[in-house]
Amino acid sequence: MDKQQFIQQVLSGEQTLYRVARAMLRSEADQQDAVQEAILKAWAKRHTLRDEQHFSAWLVRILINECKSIYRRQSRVVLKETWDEVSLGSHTHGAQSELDALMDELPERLRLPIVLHYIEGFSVKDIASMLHSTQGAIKKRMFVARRTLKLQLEQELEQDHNKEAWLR
Amino acid sequence: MKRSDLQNVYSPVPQGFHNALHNAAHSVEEKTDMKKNTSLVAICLLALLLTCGTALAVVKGYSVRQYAAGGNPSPAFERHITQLDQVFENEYVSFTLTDAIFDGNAISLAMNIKPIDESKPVYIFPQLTATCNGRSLDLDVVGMRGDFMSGFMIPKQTDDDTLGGQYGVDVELFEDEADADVTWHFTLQVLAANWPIKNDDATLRGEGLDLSHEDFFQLFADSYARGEILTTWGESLSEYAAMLPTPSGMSDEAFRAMKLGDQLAQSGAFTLIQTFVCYFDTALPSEQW
Repeated sequence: MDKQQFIQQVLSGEQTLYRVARAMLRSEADQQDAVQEAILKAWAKRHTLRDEQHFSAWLVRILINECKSIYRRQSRVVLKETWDEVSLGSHTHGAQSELDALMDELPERLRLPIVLHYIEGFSVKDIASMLHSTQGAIKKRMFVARRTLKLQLEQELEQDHNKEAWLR
Repeated sequence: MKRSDLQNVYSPVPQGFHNALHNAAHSVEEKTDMKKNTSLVAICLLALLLTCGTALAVVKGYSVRQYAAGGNPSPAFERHITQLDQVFENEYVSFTLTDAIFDGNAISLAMNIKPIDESKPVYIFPQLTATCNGRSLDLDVVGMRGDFMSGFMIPKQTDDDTLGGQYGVDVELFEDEADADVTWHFTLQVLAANWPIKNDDATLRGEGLDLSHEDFFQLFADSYARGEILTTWGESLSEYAAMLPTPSGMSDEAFRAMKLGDQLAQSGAFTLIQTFVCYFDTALPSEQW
């Protein structure tokens, strides 16, 4: 893979890389550090990639390792953000912001498989490989995440309904 | 929630991330060299910081004042600290549970864990449970300094130990509210290694990144078969434990349901040396901080 092809592949995966970094790290500076380190490492190790069709999953796996590495360098890792912290850091508004906030309410170990499978379309097998886990463990995490999201969404809808009833 | 609702989660990409990604992608060759220099400076600074941190730790136990309040606790925070100072020691490890603070929904604990003899590595598996008015509370680990989910080696098997023996954990009540005093039960299993310890290269140095999922996990199964212990990140055994064979006479389901520390002891790779046990109570806070 030459430099031009490498750059093209990295740029085409921008949204995926952001979602993975965002799902794992709270600080924007850490997200940026992680993606930069991952790209540098991927470039240095590109000769180890046997099948270029798997570039995306390979790069995501490197990025996940970088995010974990940042966890381990920090003095205190925060795995779950509060609603207030998410709202302050949000870039979007309205329903989208609420959806991001709901995702952020999930513990990281539940959030990341949801991002990788339902949003980015990676297989359970690929995700198990990226997260150094088993397929059974990943399926269980996705089940718990779906159940938690559903519960939270129902609570949100109920609150909205009560608010509307009050205004009427 | 439908799958289509999720498609726009975490979008658009913020400008800062976009710039960082583009800069890195367009300067891969030049920047690789620059990074190496930066890393050297960082390592020197880190070594200096570690020296200072260790010296401080000897003088004073690591406290929630540093862990949860960033070294600047408010008067209300100070009033709600539960001083514990529970000290345990055996020939392998010294452990001090310094203090805790409970805000009615989440508890933070701070502690020091240090090896007595660095040539005798042990695996530490911590666990916290809680009861309120006689009923068990569901807990969720929401923050940590050290791996309080799957345990860790003491000393770390690499030379990048940034924690300096100072550990902390934040645990939240999951779907439950405390309506009275909470009794906390903190245990720390100490397991001594019976076999030689090695570190995997895939997580540590990024080597073997082209390994398939099966090949990666096979490393751990092979390591066990050779009578070796293989850590990830120089301190974790969660992957190794995932590949332990089910002991004869036990169902796979029953074995996987055991605590990780018990699985490791059952495997023969480790011996459970001791379990430190601490009980303490926290009252509901009368004010917020």
